[in-house]
Amino acid sequence: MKVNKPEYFEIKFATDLMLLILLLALLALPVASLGLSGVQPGASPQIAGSSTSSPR
Amino acid sequence: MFSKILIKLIDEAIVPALYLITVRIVSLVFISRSLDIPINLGPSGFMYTSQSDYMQVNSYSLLFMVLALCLGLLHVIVKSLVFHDTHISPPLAAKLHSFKAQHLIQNSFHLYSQGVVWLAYLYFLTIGAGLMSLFGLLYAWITYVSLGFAVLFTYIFILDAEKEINES
Repeated sequence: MKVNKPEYFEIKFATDLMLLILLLALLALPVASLGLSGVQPGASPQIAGSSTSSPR
Repeated sequence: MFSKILIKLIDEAIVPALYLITVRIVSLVFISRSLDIPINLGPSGFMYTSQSDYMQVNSYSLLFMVLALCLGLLHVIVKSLVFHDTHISPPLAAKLHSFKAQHLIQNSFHLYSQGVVWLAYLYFLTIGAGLMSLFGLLYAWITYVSLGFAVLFTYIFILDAEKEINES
């Protein structure tokens, strides 16, 4: 199948854009791995074992 | 048809990405164990029972990641300063050939694409560290250490590129 010139550049631009997105996704993977850890909901903001309630 | 540079960059980015994710997971478990911090594995990852425990483990884990990245960057820099095909010393080149280790001599395209990918990871991690320290999830000094390493390695790569330009 013969591809004319404007079509060729459109396909090339689209593939390059997809490759660029893939590269950015790969580069963002280790940064996304920073979200692998977190605090349990309802956890104390202080050091575990210490009391956060004020005496009445 | 595909861009040669983009394909090379993607090719070079896969191994460091897997390496960094492995370092992250191993360091989270290792630091929690060594600091006696209770850790639970839930559907959203490693969960900690207090904010301060999380901050401590998260900070040291990111430091481990930065140091692991620096090791990789050091490897690339040694290759680009010593084994670069444009400015390798003739006696060293002859020695490498006699030891049948000529694969260590690499060209600029390979070295610079590797360097760019590793440096990009370091800058991305620095930005991530900066954002986390802004929200109080990380010690601020980790961001400064990461930024310092990023600037230092960028400077060394610029020196190497200048050397190459001057010799060509």
